[in-house]
Amino acid sequence: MKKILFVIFISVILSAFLIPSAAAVTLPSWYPSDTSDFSDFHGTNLPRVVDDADIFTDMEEARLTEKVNALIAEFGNKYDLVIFTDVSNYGIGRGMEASDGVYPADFYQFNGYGKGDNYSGSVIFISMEPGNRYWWSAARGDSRPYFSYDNVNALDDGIEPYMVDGDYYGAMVKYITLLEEIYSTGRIAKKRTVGDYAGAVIAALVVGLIAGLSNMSSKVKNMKRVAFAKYANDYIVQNSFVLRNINEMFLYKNVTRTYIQPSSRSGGGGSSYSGGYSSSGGGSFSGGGRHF
Amino acid sequence: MADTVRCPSCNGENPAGSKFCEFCGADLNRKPNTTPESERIEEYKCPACGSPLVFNTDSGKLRCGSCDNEYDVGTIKQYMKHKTEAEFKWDLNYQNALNETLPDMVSYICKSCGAEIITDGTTAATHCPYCDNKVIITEKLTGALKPNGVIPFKVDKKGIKEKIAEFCKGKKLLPNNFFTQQMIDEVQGVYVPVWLFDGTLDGKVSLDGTTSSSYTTGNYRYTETSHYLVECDGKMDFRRVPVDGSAKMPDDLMNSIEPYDYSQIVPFDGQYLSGFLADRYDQDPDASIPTASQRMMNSAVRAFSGAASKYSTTLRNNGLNLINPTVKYVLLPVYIFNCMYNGQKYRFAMNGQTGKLVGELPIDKGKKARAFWIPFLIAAAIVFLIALFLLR
Repeated sequence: MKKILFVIFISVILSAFLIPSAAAVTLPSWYPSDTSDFSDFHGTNLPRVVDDADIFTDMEEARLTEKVNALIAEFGNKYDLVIFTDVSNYGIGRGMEASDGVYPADFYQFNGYGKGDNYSGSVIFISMEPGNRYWWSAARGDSRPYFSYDNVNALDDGIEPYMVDGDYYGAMVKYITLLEEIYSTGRIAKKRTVGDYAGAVIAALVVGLIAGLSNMSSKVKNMKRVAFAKYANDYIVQNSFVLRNINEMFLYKNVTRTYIQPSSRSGGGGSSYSGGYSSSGGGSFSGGGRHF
Repeated sequence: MADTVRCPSCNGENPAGSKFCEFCGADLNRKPNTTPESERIEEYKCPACGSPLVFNTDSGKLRCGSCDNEYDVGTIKQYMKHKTEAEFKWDLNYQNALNETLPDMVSYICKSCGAEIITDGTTAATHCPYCDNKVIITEKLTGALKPNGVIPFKVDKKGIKEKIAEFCKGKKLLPNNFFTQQMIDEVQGVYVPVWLFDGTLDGKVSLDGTTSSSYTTGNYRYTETSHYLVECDGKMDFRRVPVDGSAKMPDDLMNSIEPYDYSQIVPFDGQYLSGFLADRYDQDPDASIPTASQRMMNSAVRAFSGAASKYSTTLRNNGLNLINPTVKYVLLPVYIFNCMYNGQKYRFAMNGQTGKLVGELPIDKGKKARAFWIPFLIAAAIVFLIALFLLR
């Protein structure tokens, strides 16, 4: 009897710790209970703005939906696009490659987004989880080549000021504009200032000057073979140099510190990027994003 | 609480909580120096920053109040020896070595440059080999000092044009018409008076030595430079370091046709002057000592620095002494001639023993400009195109 009571006691204690934590991770209703035998499908009447984090007003949602649909139509219904916000990524993808990008990829795939046979298109996901706020662009099918490292960085650079200011609507409007440019030209044209071109001219002049002067001075030096002798090395008696003793005394040490500018490859906010990763449903995606 | 903390050494403002000064590296938590003024040893300065050093009774070392470095007393005494240059004491007594005089010979004196040329009675000088002046006066020379030796001419002056052509190979800035337009005046073989100095440099050389290493932590690159006093004790023998004894013969021209093979020095005989001229020295060994000393010292310091090659070194103190110095007076064979091109005179000299030819050549202004502008334009265009590609 005591053993039975002990087992019941332990079970109660364990359930007090384990059941609440299991209950805390309640996945969204669209997330399949078993992802192992998932098959891709084309969803119907899918919303192009899914604001589960409730960061857009109804009017903003309507305007964004209009803009997304216009973009999809502009490119012949070839590339899908969905704006998705949520309060968390529910820990999905933790420990996997491009862990931040697995949840938006799952959302895209498990809801049946994508155009054509290879489900082309992309999702821009905003996670509003406290302490883990980030956005991520995940692309699939024919959209993947457009989501190169440089383009994802350019997208992130473009929307980062809006995201940091909390202007999520403005960020998405900017995102759609930039994505339109990417689908049209293959890349986002960098905005160059007069200073950039002036820098190029100055660099060209400086390098040219060094090349010109070094070539000219070496040829002029070659013309002059007359010089004063500084050394008497030719007149040292062979093997006459004797070093009887060498005494080295340490005096002091200087330490100088130079700041190294961080590499610009990670972009302004430090994008993480993956050229190819898998969703939980086995779909292949490319993309990247930043925390804010 | 203050946002910044002031460095006690350099007064630089540092973020609160810093341990070391960002500007001078001093310990920000160091207590101010409370050593009484009377205990300071003012005559010793810190090698790192030049501030006065103070004897620290705890460590038994000299401590700098500004940068916190500590030094052994012996090291600092050694270091603070005055920086000096070598002043060799040449006890040559060369007059004893040059006590013989030449038999009576013919002397030509140039009224233009003052050169005194001597020769045997059969050789006539038609112009001065140094300044090309044609007005020279013949006198009978008596009492000239007899050289200790001479290297006779071994190279014939015939084929000098071919020698010049060979010398001009690879000289990209030479005017195209130099070979057709240039005129060579008379090629004159001259025995140039030269002092040959022998001696041994013996003693200590003190060098300031540094070693550097770098490492990166976080976003900072740290460079550590350690400073040492390196004392080298040794010796080095020099033999026949030449300095020409003629004020008219340009030293750089004479230096540039070195070296001579001194094993071929033979006792002087007037017959070697037949067909050649000889310059009479007008600078005695005392006037030539600084030049010889400097060349020997530079070579010795370079050798000692090479022995301390793990450091980057600069000379601090030269304590070398010259032992057993001797000097000899010899005549060395040199062909001297001028090339006239576009109204300009270009002087050449050729080693009469080895045939080594030196001189300055005219520079074509157009070629010189092209040597600058062509690489300038190519390099600038390439860099600009690369920059445009990166900016697109």
